[in-house]
Amino acid sequence: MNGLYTIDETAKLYTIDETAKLIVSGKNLLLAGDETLLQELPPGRWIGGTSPYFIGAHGGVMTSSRIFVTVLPEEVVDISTHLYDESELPELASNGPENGFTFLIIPAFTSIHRSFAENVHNYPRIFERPLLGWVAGVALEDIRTIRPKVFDGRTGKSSAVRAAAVHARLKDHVAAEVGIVNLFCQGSGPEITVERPAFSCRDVYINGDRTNFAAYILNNKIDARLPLVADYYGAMVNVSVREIDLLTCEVNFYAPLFPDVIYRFASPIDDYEAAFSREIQKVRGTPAVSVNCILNYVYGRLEGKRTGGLVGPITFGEIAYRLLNQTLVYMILRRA
Amino acid sequence: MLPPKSDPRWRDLVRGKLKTAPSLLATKFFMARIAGLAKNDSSEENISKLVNESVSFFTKNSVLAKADIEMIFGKEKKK
Repeated sequence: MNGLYTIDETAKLYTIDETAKLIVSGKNLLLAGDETLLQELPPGRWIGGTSPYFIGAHGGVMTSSRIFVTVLPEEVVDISTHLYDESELPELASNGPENGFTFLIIPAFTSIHRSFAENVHNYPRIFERPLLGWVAGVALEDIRTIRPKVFDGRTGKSSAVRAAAVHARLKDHVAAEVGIVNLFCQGSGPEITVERPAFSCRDVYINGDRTNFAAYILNNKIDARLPLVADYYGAMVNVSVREIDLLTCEVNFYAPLFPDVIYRFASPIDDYEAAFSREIQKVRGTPAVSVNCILNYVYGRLEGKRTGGLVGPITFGEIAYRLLNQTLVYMILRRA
Repeated sequence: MLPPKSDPRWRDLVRGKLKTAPSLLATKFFMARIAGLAKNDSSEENISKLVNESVSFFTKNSVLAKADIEMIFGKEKKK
């Protein structure tokens, strides 16, 4: 089964006027851009989230004057959109169409971000219907002053505390497959475990011994740009270090660590651009949608560099059934 | 085609007794969740609940997870 679409035809950076024309023409759109641009767009069949970072046709770029537009292909026969609050999120899969997918955008560093990350795997039927999306962000220098936002273009509403979703129904005999490209794998270091789900922790268990994690990282000169990696039946899932707080001796993460999961720090990567090019070649088919992580953009110095031909917004977290970090998420439409 | 819910391989799958290396991302995440839940609570009631969830998951994903289903349960014999 090959992918039906070529991403270059359906996803790229547009001016606000070009984006508005696409909206008015009735296309189903996924948008990413600066808040001031998104809030000026006309109502229509779109959802969006804030981010000024993208991988465009010419590589990584930061811009607040363009909007990244993904036009959902014609195999999408209908969409519905909704701004979900935290209490409604468990209904996410149930509200989706029998054959289709759900695309979700969550504002970063919010209660709903945390709640989704910690609980999504227990939402009813969540693995039965394709779910992907991303976490909205802002320019890195604005993290402490500007709140990420999401938009529901059908109602014209935006939110800094709710999540925007599009439930897309597909034609019969077309199926959506969600996949990931993760450059990282578990390194050869010790096993790291925790007692309870948490976005931050003081102590962890290093090969079973209770240890202050911040001190462990510093004393062992571990490169904290490398994520912790867990093996989910062969899927490598990253949790990235956000901050090591020397005052509180806490380590904060971009996604939660879970008990009963074994983590190891990842092996280092020399050349992100080459690694993406290599790994994306292994993907069977051509993705119709993709998103990539701000940490890959920053740590991999992807500005001006391409990622194996895949384009899309650069995000503060990626969603492929669950919250991921430092991972490229894609969706391929396949003939069923 | 999936075996009936009463097939003992469903229980073996949930209990982690069948060696599997799924290819579909959804299967990987689903199996990791099921294995964790079965490990934490191996009561008959919970295993039955997880078998029901597994049947539902593979039924809904029967097209994209075809290779995983064949790996777990074997290829369907042609009549």
